[in-house]
Amino acid sequence: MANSTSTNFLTLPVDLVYRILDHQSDFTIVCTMRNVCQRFNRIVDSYDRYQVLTTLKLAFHQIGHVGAQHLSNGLRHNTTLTILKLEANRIGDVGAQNLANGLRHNTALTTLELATNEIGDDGIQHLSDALQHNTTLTILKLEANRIGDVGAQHLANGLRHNTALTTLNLQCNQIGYVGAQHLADGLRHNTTLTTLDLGENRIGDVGTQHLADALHHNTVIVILYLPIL
Amino acid sequence: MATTAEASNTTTGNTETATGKMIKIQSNDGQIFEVDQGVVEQSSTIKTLSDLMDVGDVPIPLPNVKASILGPIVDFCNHHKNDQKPEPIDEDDDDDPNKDIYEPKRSDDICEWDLNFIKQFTVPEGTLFDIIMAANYLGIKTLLAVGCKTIANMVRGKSSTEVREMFNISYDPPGEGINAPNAIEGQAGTVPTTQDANATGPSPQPDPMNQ
Repeated sequence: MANSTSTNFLTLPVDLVYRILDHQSDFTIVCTMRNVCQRFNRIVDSYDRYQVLTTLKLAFHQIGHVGAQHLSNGLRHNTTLTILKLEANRIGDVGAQNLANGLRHNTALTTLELATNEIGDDGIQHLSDALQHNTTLTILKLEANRIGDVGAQHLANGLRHNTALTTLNLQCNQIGYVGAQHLADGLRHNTTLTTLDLGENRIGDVGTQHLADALHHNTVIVILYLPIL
Repeated sequence: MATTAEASNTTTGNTETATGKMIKIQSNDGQIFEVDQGVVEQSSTIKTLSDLMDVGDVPIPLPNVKASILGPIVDFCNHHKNDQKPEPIDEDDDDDPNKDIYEPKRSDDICEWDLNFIKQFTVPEGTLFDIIMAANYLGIKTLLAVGCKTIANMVRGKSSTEVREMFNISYDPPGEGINAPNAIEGQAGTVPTTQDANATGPSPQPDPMNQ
């Protein structure tokens, strides 16, 4: 019986694959169905929902680092998504590393929202490295993570070599005056960032002074949020 | 002759006569199944054929479906023939202007009987895809939906690699093998022609590169 089989997923007619896609979430289409094989890629690319899918909202989806790995694979080959919202998904440092791998090769995403994801300095290092290669991301939101001075230093390095980012939100992290100094140094060499949010950190008077000094050399920053003292 | 004329005159309200009329359908490997109107109504293909052809006692040939698939399909339709008249089946709303094409359709609403029914068809044997192809060919929207939802549920949450393993798909280099440009167009919207039981043509086999 089995050897008379002639149908499998790969030979299923296009309209039936579309029907299966009709039942899939945006996440599954982007991260799972895309990049299975060339044929599916062409089918997904011609699928109406995928063609207009520019924003992927996945806040509170319990994605974790495994889901971030899937997303990374999806991002690597995706040219349609421009906004990715991933707030509160327990992505963590490992997940951030996965995402960074995808981000490094992505040329479409302009906004990445990663608030409240338990991302610490290690995860930030990978994201910062990716920033040095990425030329399209303009908004990166990292509120309420676990970014300390070391993470701020990584970000400063990223900023130094990045020419795309215009908004960096670091509100509600654990950045002290040392981290602020690193960021200030990064700003001296950055010519694109216009908004930096450092509200609810621990940068203190010293950190504030470092940032103020940096603004003498930086002519593009228009909005700088600092902790309310 | 008389009975056929009577049946074709049946318009509305005469369901008892309608369900009483049996129709024979024949699989591509020669097996004949006798089905009543409750079954026929669920398959747009059989319905059309039985309306068009004055079949009488001659079985309607279904050259795209083999007996091992057609038998369970008849069971499926027999089970569902007393279902409430198809509430707007979500598979059938392609023309609905209000349909939001950007929202995924549900796939967690397969009833328990259907879940058990679909379990007898598997990916390794290819029968799960056979049943989907057959449901599509026969125009049985409910069964087609169950099949597509089942595949969707299998894929959800998996990585692309896991999907390749699950369905034994190799990532062919662009333009080669099953990924050749004409491989898509050639299959789009068509149903494979008769599958002879003794056909030994090349069938997709595990790619050696895909371990």
